[in-house]
Amino acid sequence: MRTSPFFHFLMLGFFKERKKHIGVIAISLVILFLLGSALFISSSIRYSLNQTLAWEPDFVVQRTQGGQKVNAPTAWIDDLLEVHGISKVTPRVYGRYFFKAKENSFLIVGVDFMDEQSNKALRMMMDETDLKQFLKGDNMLVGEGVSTHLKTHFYPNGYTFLTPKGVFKKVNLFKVLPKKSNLISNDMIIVPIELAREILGMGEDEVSDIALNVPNDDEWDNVADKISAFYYDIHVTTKEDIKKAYENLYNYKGGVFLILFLIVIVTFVLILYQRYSMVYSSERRHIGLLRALGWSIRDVLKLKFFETMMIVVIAFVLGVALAYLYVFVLGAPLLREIFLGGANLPNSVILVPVLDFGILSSIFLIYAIPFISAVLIPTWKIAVTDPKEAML
Amino acid sequence: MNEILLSNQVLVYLLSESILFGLLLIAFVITFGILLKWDFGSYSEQQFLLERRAYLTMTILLFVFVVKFLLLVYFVFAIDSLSLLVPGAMCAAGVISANDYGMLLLFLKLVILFFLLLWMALNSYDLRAKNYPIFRLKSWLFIAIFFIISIELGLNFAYFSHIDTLEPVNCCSTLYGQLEGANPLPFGLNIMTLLLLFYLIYIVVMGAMLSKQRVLSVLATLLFVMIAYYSVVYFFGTYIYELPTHNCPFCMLQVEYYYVGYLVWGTLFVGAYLGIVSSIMEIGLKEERKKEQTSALILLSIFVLLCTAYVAIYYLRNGVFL
Amino acid sequence: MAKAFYTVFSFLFLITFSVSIHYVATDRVSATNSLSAVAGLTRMGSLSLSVAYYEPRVQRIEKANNIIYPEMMSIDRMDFVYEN
Repeated sequence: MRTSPFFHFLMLGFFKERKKHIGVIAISLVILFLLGSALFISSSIRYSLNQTLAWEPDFVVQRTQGGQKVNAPTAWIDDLLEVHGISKVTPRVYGRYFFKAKENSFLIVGVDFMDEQSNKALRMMMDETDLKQFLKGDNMLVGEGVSTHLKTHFYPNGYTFLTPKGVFKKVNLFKVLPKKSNLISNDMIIVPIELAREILGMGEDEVSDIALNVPNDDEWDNVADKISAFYYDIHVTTKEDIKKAYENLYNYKGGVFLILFLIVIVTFVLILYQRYSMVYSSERRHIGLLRALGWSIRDVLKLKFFETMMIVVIAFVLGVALAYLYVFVLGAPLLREIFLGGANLPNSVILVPVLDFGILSSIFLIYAIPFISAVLIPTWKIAVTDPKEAML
Repeated sequence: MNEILLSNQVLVYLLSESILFGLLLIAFVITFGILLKWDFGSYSEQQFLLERRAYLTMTILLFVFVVKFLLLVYFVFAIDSLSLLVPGAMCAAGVISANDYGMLLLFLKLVILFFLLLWMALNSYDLRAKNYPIFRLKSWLFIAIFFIISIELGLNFAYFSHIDTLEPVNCCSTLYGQLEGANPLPFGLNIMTLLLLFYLIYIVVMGAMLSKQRVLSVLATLLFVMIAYYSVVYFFGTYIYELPTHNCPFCMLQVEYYYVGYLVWGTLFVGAYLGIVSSIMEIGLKEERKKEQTSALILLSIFVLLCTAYVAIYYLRNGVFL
Repeated sequence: MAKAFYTVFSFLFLITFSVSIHYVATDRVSATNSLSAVAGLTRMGSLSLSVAYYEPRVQRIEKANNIIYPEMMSIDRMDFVYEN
């Protein structure tokens, strides 16, 4: 294959002197890997949450007392049903059940399986015969984290809950929810709504909060106002709030991470500046020779520029690929605990790969611009070497 | 702390701009020193040192030019993604008009890119001439650019730290839409005359460039950019969106329209810049700049073809105009 | 040495290629479906955070905190700076 002399010379220099570059590439890899992993994890979580948004209720109505959420009376449901434009008013019953005090807890969620949407969702999980069996007795669906926890504590087929009234309640473990839904279901126990009330010690006329839908988007603000005026202790959360929270979640964790990262980048720049000043000063003779052979300052700058670009490209591709492997193939062990917590049940989620222009360009810019800026001045210093240096 | 400042894209963007400014500051100090003592006729050690330093300025400016260009794209992308956080904003149009700094910032960015391109052209001429005939001119140009960029940096920070995430902003249909029958077009044009002007000026630009009427071509290109802007927003854009009431220069940058906006605005501005810069060079330095002229013509033609194609394809598919 | 260049860059290309293959081949639909099934069944889409007993697991009341990330302190609150 024919290659231009300049290109040939560039390669010759690059691979002959590879020891000089390997150190820089290694530091770059670490930085790119950490940044890439954090951004990949947060964007993947955001993507998955956004996917489930369609299934979430448009409004959640809660009762507050002194800023704390308390159980709402079921009578509210009837009041809400009377407002025009509201549909699918569903009571939600949920709460945490502590396996051992101050240690592990599960999230108990009570579901009315006869409800249209819940029924439809249930059919996505199991077939008809299973469904009939499931609805027959006291059965529960548990997340993967719960199932592992129960198994290690010798409850492979079910668990006996202790209700606040001091009564034991045995519930069969019917099915483990798929690992793919771990992001939201890891510590969940799904039981019929009456059973959940019993386990959580709630009265027959109480619910945790009330979810409702408003099919016409334009009416959201109106309806929110209307509902808020019903009672003095009502608190309404809309889907818009949640959407914005998702958006911020990504920015937030990523943002704080990036601010800390800025410090790292500045250090990186200083290290690079030092290193290149040193590396290049050992090349003075070499460059002086080239200049004596008739290379212009521009030619030397061009040579060094391509050298730098090669390092940037190699490190970028390797670093991003490593981060990809770590996050989306290995599931980001350790680092994911920053995002999902690690104080309760261990959660091994499958993160759906998300790569887009925004993330990749951000990683590239935050790495490449400081890198090239740091190298610029040492490069110039070496490029203007006098030809007479070759003689020294 | 402000939510906007914590957004990834904004952080990366501000960091990059600040680093570039740091480099430019170094270049500025050097250039200033060079300008004070520059004497090409001298053979002193000092003069050689200055000539070497000039290379640093050159390298920095080349780097800044490339990155500024990338950052403009990134900036538009960043504010587009902010539209999810700012209430009321559907696309970048709302976010950029969230405060008074936004539009000014975008305008300054375009101006800066133009001057940087002009600087690059002057520089390449200067280097080829061996004896630096226009060294002082290009150095003063750089100093002017530096001051504009300083203002831009301040605006960057002012803009992003003054976006209110609670106050609703206008969406593009209220910003650019036909407001109670008032005509948004300049000189009292209507759509028909606007289109006529669009194609007419395009032909004038072509003619002027090919027949080497330099002054005319600069003026015609400037006018063309303006008319093209209005034509895209008020006529061609509606075909891109396939919606007669949707007038917005920013929505077409989104994924729903296959990011075609980057191509539309990119070809228009790069084409016009190249045309104007090469014409100015030819007027001022009496030097043939065939390559730039040709690429300017090609880019502007792509722009016109692309816009026309949207209308034509729409007509062929649906049998009617919007 | 051009050979070394081609080796390195074909290696990089291979990596990029395998990443894109993995990216395209991932089954997003089934993952989304099982998430949607749980969210639809329970009407709750909050993250399954592994939090200690004193931290809220599902929280949508306190405005100052991030709704989705209750365990994360927002930096406009003073507990970010001062220890409690």
